[in-house]
Amino acid sequence: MNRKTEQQIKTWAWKIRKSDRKAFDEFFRWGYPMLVRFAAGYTGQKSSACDIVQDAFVILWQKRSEIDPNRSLKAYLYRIVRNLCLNHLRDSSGTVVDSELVQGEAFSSDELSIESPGNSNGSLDQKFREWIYALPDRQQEAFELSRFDGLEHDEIADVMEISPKTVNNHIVAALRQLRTFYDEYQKNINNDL
Amino acid sequence: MTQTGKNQKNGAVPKEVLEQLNENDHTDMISVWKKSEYARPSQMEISPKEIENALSKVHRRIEPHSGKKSIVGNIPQYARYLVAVVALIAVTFLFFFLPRTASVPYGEMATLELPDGTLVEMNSGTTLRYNRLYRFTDRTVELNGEAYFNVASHGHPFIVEANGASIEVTGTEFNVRSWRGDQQMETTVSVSEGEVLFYPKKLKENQITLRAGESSRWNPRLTEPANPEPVTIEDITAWRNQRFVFRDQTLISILYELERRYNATIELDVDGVEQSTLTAYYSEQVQLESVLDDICTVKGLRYTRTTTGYRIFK
Repeated sequence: MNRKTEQQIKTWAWKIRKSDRKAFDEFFRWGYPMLVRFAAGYTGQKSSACDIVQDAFVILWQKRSEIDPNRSLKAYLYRIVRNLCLNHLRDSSGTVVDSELVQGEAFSSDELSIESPGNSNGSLDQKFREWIYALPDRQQEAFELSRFDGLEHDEIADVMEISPKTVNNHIVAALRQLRTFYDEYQKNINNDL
Repeated sequence: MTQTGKNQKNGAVPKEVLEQLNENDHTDMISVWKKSEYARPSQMEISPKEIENALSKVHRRIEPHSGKKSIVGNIPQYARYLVAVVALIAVTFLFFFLPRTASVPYGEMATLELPDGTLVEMNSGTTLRYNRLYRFTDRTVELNGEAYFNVASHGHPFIVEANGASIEVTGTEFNVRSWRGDQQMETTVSVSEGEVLFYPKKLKENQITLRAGESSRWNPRLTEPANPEPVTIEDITAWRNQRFVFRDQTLISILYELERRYNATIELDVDGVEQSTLTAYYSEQVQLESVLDDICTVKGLRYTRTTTGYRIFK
C-alpha cells in the first residue's frame, strides 16, 4: 500500500468518526471489492461474502464513535469481517469450528473463479493456489493478508488478534513452505523433460 | 500505520520477513513471493454496479428512513441518547406492567404454576391474568372462569380478583368460580384447606372468613358475601377430574359449562327454562350426548345435532 492510500484511510477514519457519510461512501467503494474477496476465502461463496462485508460496514458505521484514527481503519474492518466469517462458518456448519479448521474445507464452491487475468502461466498459478491451501490455516491467513491484501504486519496482528512477531513467523514459515513446494515442482518438471 | 509502509511497494516481500531469512535465500524467496502474485484464492471481479448496489443496501440499513434527511439527523447527539434512554425506560416500564395472560381453550384443561410456586388448575375456557412483577410487588391475579388454587406460602397475601370480588389468602387451597359472562356476575368461593378472606373489591371492611368445607357467593347487588354454607368440596371441584356435579344449578349455566368443557355450541330454543334448576351427578367422564339425554329427559325436551353442536327444543 502506498503512502497516499495510507494517508487517505487515516483521513477517512477521522471523517467517519465525525459521522461524515461522504467519507464513509468513499471508504466503502475503495474497500468493498477487496473485502468481499477476502471474505469469500472463508465462506467460499460470493453471496454470503457480500452480505458479511455489508454487515461489517453497517457495524463500522454504528460504532464509528469508537474508531481510533491512530490505528489502522483497514485492519479494524478486516477484523470485523474475519470475525463475522468465522461466526458464519460456525453457525452454518452447526458445530463449533475452530478457526484453525476453517479455510481448507471452505473452498468447494464453483462460484469462485479460478481465472487469473493478466497472467498466461495459469497452471503455475493453480499450483500456487493449491500450495497455499495446503498451508496450516493460520500461516495461510497471515500470508494471504500480507501478500494479497497488502496489510502491514501490525495490521495483520490486529486482524488475527496475535502479536506482530507471530505474524512474521507465520509468513516466514509459509514462504519457506511455498519455496519447498516450488522447488519440488521444478525438479519434477525437469525430470519429466 | 508503520514505517514499513514505505518499504512495501506494490507487493514486495515485507522487510520483516526478509530480515528473518538467510541472506542467501533472499533471491529465491523473492522469486517465490513474486510468482504467487496471481494465486489469490478468490479472483472474483466486483463490478462498479455491484459496489453501488451494495452501498445503497448499506445506506438503507444505517438510515432506516432514507430519502429525506431524517428528523433525528438534526438533533444533537446527547438529545438522541436522552430520547433513547427515555424510550428504554418507558418500554421496560410498559413491559413490567403489561399483564401476562394464561388462557385455556374450550374443550381442554390446564394447570399453571405461578412464579411463587402457586398451582392453578384452570377449567375449560378460563383466563388468568397477573402482572410481570407478580411475587415482587404483590400476588394478585385476575380470574375469568373457574380455577382451583393451591397457594404457596409467601410474604405477600395472595389475592384473586374476579367480577368485582376479592379473595385474599396467605397459603391454602380453594376453588373460585366467576365467569365474566355470567348474568349475575356471581363469584363463588369454596375452601378445601385453610382459611380465606372474601370481600367485594371496593368494600374490604365487608369481609367474611371462609374455612375449610365452606362456600360463599357474592355478586355486585349484594353489600357483602352470603353467609358461609357447608359444601361437599369434592362436588365443587369435580371438574378437576373431568367430572360433573350440578346441584340446583340453572339450566343456562349448565349449558354454558358444557359448551366450554366440550368445545361445542349448544342452542337453547325453548322459552322460560333458562333459570329452571337441575341436579345431576356424573362420577366419571361422560359423553356430551349422554348429559344432554339426561337433561332432556328430566326437562321434557329434545335435542338435535347442528353443524357446530346441538340445539335443544321442545
